Formats: sequence, C-alpha cells, structure tokens
Amino acid sequence: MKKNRKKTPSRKTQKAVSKVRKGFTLPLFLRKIIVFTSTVIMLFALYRFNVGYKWFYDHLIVENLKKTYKYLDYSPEQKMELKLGFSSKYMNFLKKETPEDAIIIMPPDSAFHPKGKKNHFNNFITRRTWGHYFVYPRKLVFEKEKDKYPELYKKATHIAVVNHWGYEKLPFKVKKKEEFSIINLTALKTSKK
Amino acid sequence: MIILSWLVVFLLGLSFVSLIAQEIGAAEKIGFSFPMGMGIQSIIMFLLDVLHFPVNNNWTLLVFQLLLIALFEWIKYKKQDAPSLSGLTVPKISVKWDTIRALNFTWLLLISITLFVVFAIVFKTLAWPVFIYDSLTGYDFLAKAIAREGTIHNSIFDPDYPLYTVRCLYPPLVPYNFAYAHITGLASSKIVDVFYYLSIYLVFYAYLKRHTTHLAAAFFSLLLAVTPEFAAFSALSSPNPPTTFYVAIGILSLIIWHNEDQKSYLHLGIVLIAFGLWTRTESIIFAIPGGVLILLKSLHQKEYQPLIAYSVITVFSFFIWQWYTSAVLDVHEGLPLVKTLYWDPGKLSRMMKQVRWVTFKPNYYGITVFLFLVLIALNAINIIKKKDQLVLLSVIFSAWGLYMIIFYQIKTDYMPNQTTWITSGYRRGFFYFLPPILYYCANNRLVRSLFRRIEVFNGSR
Repeated sequence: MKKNRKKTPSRKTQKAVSKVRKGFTLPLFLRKIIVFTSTVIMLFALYRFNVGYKWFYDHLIVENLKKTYKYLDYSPEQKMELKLGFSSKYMNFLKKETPEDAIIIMPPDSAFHPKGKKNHFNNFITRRTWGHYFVYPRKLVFEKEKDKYPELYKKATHIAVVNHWGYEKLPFKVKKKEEFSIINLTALKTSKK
Repeated sequence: MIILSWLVVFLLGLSFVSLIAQEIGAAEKIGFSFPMGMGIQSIIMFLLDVLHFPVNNNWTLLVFQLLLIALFEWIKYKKQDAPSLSGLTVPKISVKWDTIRALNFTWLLLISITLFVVFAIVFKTLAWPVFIYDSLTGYDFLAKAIAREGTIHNSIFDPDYPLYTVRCLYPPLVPYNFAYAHITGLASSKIVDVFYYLSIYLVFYAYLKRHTTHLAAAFFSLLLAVTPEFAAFSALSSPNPPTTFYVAIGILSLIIWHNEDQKSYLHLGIVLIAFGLWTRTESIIFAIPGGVLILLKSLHQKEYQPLIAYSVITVFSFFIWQWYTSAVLDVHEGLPLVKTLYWDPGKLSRMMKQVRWVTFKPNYYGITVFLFLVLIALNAINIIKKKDQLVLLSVIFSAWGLYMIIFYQIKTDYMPNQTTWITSGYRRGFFYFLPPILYYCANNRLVRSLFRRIEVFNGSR
C-alpha cells in the first residue's frame, strides 16, 4: 500500500512547476502551426526521398488522373486497346464479325509473330484462355492444337486471318488478300451448295 | 436496378453485422457492410449453384437477399424482445464543440490527402476496364461465364475443351461477386474492388481510433492508403485486396477480442477469416494463428464454444471448395507443393534472398516495413517487460513464418529468372500483413505516448 501512495508535491513546488510550464507554453495557434508545418515537411520528405511514394504520387495519382480524364469519353473497347494494343483491337474485331456460336480457327504462333516483320501482337494472344476472354462465348481453336482437339477443329465456322495467314485453308485462290481479316466458312459452304 | 441491387447487398451486410456485432460503432458497421454483404452473397450463389438453380437471375438473388435480411432482423427482434432494425437506423451524429476542437488542422490535412488519394484510385478503377492478365484469364473470365451460363460449373470447365487456368480454381467469393456485377448490368466488375478499397480504410481508421488519437489514426490510415503496390493493385481487378480486407481485419478483430474480451469482435473475426479462406486458400497463414489465439483464450477461460465455432466454420469454408473442385468441377490441380518436409539450404537461401528484395523494396511498400522494424527495436524494452502488443507481434511473425514455409514447400528451385512465386505471389500476398503491421506501428506504447503528447501540444486534448 505504501508503495502505491504518491507523494503530493508541496504547494511551493506546484507553483514553481506551473511557473516553468507557463514560461514554455506557446500560444495555441502557434503550436498548431508547428505541428501542421512539421507534418507537411515530413510528408514532403517521404515524397521526395522515397522512390515508392514518389512513383505513387507522380505516376499512380497525377499521371493516371490526367490520362483517365483525357480518355473519359472512350468506349471500354477503345480503352482496352489503349492498354493492350492491337491484340485487343483484333480480338474485338473477331467478336464483332462473328456470331456467338462461332468456332474460330486461330493462326499458328509464327503468323502472329513473324520473323523480320513488324510485330503487331503481344505475347498473350497465342494463349488460349486470354483470347477467349474477348470473344466468349465463341470458341477459339488454335492451329497448333488441331491434333489435340480434332473434333472442334472440324466444326470450325471461321478462320482468323493474321498477316495474310488463313487464305491457304480455302479450296480456291483469293486474289485480294487482306493482312487481317476473318473468313466465314459457313457462308462459303452455303454458297457452294 | 443496378443501384437497388448493390444497395440490397449493403443492407444484407449491415443487417448481418448488426446481428453478430451489436456493440461496434456506426463507422465500423458501415465499413463492414459491403464486404460482409458480398461474402454472404457468394454463399447464396454457391448454394443455389449446388442445388442446380441458375445464379444469373437477378430477381432470384434479390428474393434470397431480402429473405436473409428479414431472417437476420427477425433473429435480432427475438433476441432483444423489442422492434430491432438497429443496424438499419441511421447513426446519430452529435456535433459538439469539443469534437470540432479536436479536429485539428493537421488531422484535416491528413484526412484530405487520404480522401484525395482514395478518390483518385476509385476514379481510375471505375474508368478503366479489366485488363490485367490474371483477371482476363481467371477471375473476370470465370465471372463472365457464370453471369452468362448461370453456374460456376460452366463451359470453362468443359473436359473436352478446358479453358480454365489456375486462377479459375481459387475459392469463389471474388468470381461470384464479379459475376454479380455483370448480372446487375454493370459494364465492368471493378466496382467490387472499389467497395473493398473504401471499406478497408473506414474499418482500419475505426480500429486504430479505438486505442490511439484521431491524428495517429489519420496518419497510419494514410500510410496504408499510399502504400504504392497496395494502392496500385486496389485499382486493378484482383482478389488480393478483398483477401487483405478479410484476413487482416479478421485477425485484428480476433486480437481486439483477445485483449478486450468483447464478443462482437470474436464473431467478426471468425466470419472474416472464414470469408478470407473463401476468397484465397493462402489465408490459412492467418487462420492458423487465429485458431491458436482462440485456443489459448478458450483454455484460459475454460470456455470452448468460440474454439468449436471457429474450427467448424473455418475448416468447412476451407474444404468445401476443395471438395467442389475435385468432385463437381472434376479438376484435380492445385499448388505444386512438396507434401513431405525436407531440407534444402540452397533453395532456402535463394528464396530468402528474393523475399528480402521484395519486402524491403521501397517501391512496393514505402516505409512501412522499415518503420515496423525500427519501432520494434525502439519498443523492445516495453515488449519484453510489459508484453506490449506481444500477441499482435506473435501473430504477425507466425503468419509470416507459415507463409515462408508454404513458399519453401513449392516445387521450384528459386533459380534467378525462373519463377515468379516470390516476385508476384509473395509481393501481393504481403498486402495481408500491411494492416496488422501498421496497427502495431500506431498502437505500441511508444507511438501512442508520442501522439498523445502531440495532441496535448496541439491543443486537441
């Protein structure tokens, strides 16, 4: 019990302490300014000397706000093209030009990324699931997988033309070959009949 | 219809939170509403799916949501013996002169910056479509298929022509909610990420404010908001920010319960950790320390109900999806883990080198990790002598240790430029540690005392 009892300072000591305290007390407004300014300096130092926060503010906030505002009127497809380039544009084109139950033959990797020529596509385009996101519920069957999924390949309704690849699948010669296009096999079969 | 659909999800969460955690504050209740609502929403969709009902009919979902709200309100009414609807009432906000005086300039500055940052991230999130690879080949792709075909067991899992990737095999909370966004007619599913992003700051601020000053809560909430990698990922379409909400806030709820013995936080902790496991299975790294925490407290109090409830709910939410993927979806892939323990110092050394590089890279987490370690060092005496936040530190380090064990057990040799387990997986998984780490930074004796002094000096107290 004795240990817990705090000794009350004498009145003289209390007066002295309060006098000293009063002597050091700054006006409230000034104290608020000191805390405010210190915080601003600290935040600025974090921004200035930490590459992460600098990237965060300059790129993720400022640059992105400008970019987002600039392209605010763009459609989701156009924005997708800005982010993913021509690959997204081409996949959206396939979606637009085919019915929902279409099965589309996709070219081999060498057609998407021809050696010595300008590369329009990203590396994801040759991955099955990535392409399907854009054209779902249509199905894509890749030329490199024709032996793996022969039934689906046989049922194909369209051929995706990339870098002039795809025309050789037709039983006749095409005079004017487009660089990027889509061939409707069902329409060809119907007209043949 | 879009607004109504999401409003009902919010009310569903609010009603549930008001039922299981009556004593918590209004800000916390509001912060919990969307994540809880979306968690329950995913369970409704899953149950309908298992029972072969189409999950893409908005009206069916709406009926089930409203029925559940009615059920929660009825339980509350029965419990209280009085008309309830406590969770649905608008909280009274009393503006007192003292409160206004406490809102000092510095606090306003920090809150303004946080709001600006949150606005910029939300604006970016909503303005841009889903474009990240993981979402295009996983979460959002699966969501689109659910929304169109009305089931998670859809053409993506067709054994004759499978289109799934490993990202489609994570537990279904996020894909179901992304699908719900498509079902309600939204062009993009990214609204889901926005709700989690807003919720985490609201709840984190409210949790910090329980023990620290408004100024400290504002400062450390800002540090969370501006953590570069976390903020960048919150604007994308990824399940990591939702998991961060569930496991980080869940473990903090359990710690609050452990320290203060308030049942509301136990209930919240159990449900949040279970939802964490229902979002990503790696949440187990926090589920295990959470279980140990409850076990110790149960042994101490000789009351085993919380332990039983926690074990049943978390184990069920962990294994139900494992069962569904193998029994229904007929997919038997998973993490390529070595099932036996082994010792490979070379692999461990290479792995830890990458872990060190990611953890201490300021581009990813700013000063958070450095601040955490410095504060542990400065507060060492209090930790040893007064056990200051020892429970929290034990949970953080044991969860991190478990995370390291998982990465070590993965079938890879961590040779340079070969795998991205650490540079991608761990980098995003570290988000789960950020709120507990910052909670420690704000809540240790040293910082609490410092901020109290600042507040006194600032005339706010």
